[in-house]
Amino acid sequence: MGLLEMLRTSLSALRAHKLRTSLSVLGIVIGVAAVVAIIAIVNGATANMKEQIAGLGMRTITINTFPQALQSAASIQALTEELTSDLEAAPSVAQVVPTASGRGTAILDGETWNVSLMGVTPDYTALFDGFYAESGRFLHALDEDRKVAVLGAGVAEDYFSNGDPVGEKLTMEISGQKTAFRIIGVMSERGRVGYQNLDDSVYIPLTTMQILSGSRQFSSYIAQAANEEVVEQAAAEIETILDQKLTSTTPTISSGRGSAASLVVATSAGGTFIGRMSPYSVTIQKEAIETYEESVNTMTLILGGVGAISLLVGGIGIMNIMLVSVTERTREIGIRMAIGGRPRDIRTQFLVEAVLISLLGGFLGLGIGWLCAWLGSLFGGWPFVISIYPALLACGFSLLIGVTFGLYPALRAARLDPVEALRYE
Amino acid sequence: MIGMIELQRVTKDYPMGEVVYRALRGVDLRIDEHELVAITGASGSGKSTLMHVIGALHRPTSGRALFDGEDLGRLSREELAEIRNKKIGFIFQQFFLLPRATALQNVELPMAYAGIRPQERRERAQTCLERVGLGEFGHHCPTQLSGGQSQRVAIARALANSPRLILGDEPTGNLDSHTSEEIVDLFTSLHREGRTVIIVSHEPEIARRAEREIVLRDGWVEEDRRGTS
Repeated sequence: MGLLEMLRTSLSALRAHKLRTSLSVLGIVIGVAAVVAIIAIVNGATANMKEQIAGLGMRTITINTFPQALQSAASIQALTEELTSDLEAAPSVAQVVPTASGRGTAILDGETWNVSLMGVTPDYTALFDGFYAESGRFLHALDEDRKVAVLGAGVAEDYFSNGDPVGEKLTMEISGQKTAFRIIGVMSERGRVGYQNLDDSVYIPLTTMQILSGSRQFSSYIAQAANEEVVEQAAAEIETILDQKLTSTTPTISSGRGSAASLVVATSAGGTFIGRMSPYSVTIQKEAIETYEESVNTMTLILGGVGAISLLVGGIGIMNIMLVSVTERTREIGIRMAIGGRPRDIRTQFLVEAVLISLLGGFLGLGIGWLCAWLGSLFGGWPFVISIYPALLACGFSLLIGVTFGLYPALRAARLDPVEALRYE
Repeated sequence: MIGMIELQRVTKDYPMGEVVYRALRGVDLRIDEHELVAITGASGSGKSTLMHVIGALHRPTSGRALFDGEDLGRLSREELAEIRNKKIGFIFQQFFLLPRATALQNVELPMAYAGIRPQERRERAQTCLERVGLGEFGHHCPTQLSGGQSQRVAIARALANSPRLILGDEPTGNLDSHTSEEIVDLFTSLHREGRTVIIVSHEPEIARRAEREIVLRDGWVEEDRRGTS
C-alpha cells in the first residue's frame, strides 16, 4: 500500500476522533511552541544586547575602579585626574574620558525623585554616535565647577513634559547637600549603551561632581583604543599602568582582566570579599559580549530543557493515544490482515498516524511559538528574529517524537494474530 | 500431480491458560482445483481451525500444509499475508467490512495492499460490485446496507484480486433463509466460473449443494464424501 494511501487512511482515522486527536496534538504544540519561542526570544534579545554593547564602539575600553578595594588613602589619591593623562600616554590608547557616577535626589515644585548623576567632561558625547544636545548645549570646558546640568532625553520627558526645560532651575540633593542647578541642555534620545541607559541620566561637569561628592577619585574611565586591531593591546597597557599606580599600596592584588568577572560578582554580592579583589576592572567590548553570550547560553539551555521535557510529555501522550487506538481498532487490524495487509503495512499505518499527530503539533507549535516570540519582541523592544533553524528543529523534533513514541504501538499492532484480532470484541 | 491444498498429519494446538487445547489432531486432506467443498461438523469439531490453516491465517503446530505446493508452515507472516492477499478470498459470518469506508473502498482495500493503481482499482472494484449485483451501492457505507447486501460487498471484496480460492466461514450464519439462498447461489456461480470454493458451515442445505462434504469430529476427519450434484 502506498504512502499516500496510508496518509489518507490515517487522516480519516484521526478525523473520526477529533477531540482525542486535538488533545494529543496540543501536547506537542505546547512543547514545540515553548522551544521555538525561547529560541526566537533569546536570539532577538541577544541581537539587541549585542547591538547595544557594540553601540559603545568596538574600540571602547571600560575601566571601572573600586575605591573601596584600596586600603590606603595614598592609592585613592592615585586615582586622580593625573591618571587620565597617564593612560592617554599609552601608545595604543587614543583618548580617555573620566566619569564619576552617583545618585542624587531632584527636587522640583515640592516633588522629589531619584536621579542617576553622571559627572563627565565635554569629551563624553564624542564616545557615542548620535548623542548630542537636541536643545540648548552640552557641557563645555568653561563649565568646570559651575552648577549646570544637561538632562537625558528620558529625564526631560518624564519631569518636564510641558515645555523646553532649558534655562529652568533644578535643585538636587547630593551627599546631603542641596544645590540648585541651571539646566543648559537636553540630549537626544540614545537609549541603552552597554550597561547604561544614556537617556536616564543627568549630566553635570566632572569637577562639580567631585566638589559636591567630596572626593576626587573617578569611578570609571572610558578609553578609546587607537583602532579596533589594538584594543586588546591597549587594554594590556592600561592594566600595566593601573598595576603600577595601584599595586604599590595594595598588597593582595590580583592581576588583570581575568579577575574582572569575579570582581563584578563579588561587588554585587555585597562587597564582602573586596579586600582580596583587584581594585579595578578593564573590560573590552568583545569580552562584554562574550560574558553576555555565556549567560544567555546558560539560560537557553535551562529554558530549552524545560521545552524538551514538555515535548517528552507530549510524546508520551501520543504513545498513550496510539495504544488506545490500536486496542480499539483490533478488529479492523484483523480484517486488514485477513484480506492481505502485511504486518509491515499495519505497522507503517500506525506509525504514519503517530507522525501525523506530532507533525501537525510541530507546525502549529512553530506558528504559535513565533507568535509568542513576536509578542515578546514587541514588549521587550528587541528585533523579532525569525530564522530557519528553529523551524527545522521543530519539524525534526516532532518527526523524531512521532516515530519514537509511535513505534511501540505500531509494532504491537503489527504483531497481532489475525484470527484473534478478528474475534476481538 | 499435487492438489491445490494438501494437508499431511496437520495438528493445531491452542494454549488455553495452563492447558493446551488440541483443535486438530492429525488431519490428512487434499483439495483439488475447481472443487466445491463443504466442511461441516459440530461446534468445537475443529472446522474453523481447519479453515484458518487452509486460509494461511494460522500455521499448523505440526504436519505440513501445502498451498500450491508451498509449505505454509515455513513461510513468514509477511509471505502468508501475500498469499491471503493474492490467492485467497475470505468471506466471514460477520461480514467484517470496515465501517467507516464505503462499499467501493472496502472492495478496493485488497487491491490497495496488492499495490494496484487507484484508477485501475476503482474500475475493478466497480466491476466486482456489479458482479454481486450491487453496482449502484458503491458509495454506501456498511451501516446503510442490509445483511445480505453487506455479505455481497464482502464477496465482491473477496473477488477483488481474482483469487483462485474462495473461503467462506459460515457465510450465511447471520442471514435469513431467503437471503442465505441467494448467497449460496452466488457461491455456486463463483464455482461454476472456475474457482475453488470451500465453505465451512453446519447448514445441511449448503452441504447438500456442495459436490464434496468433509465432516469433522473432535479434530479428525470423520467422513469425506462426494455427492452427485
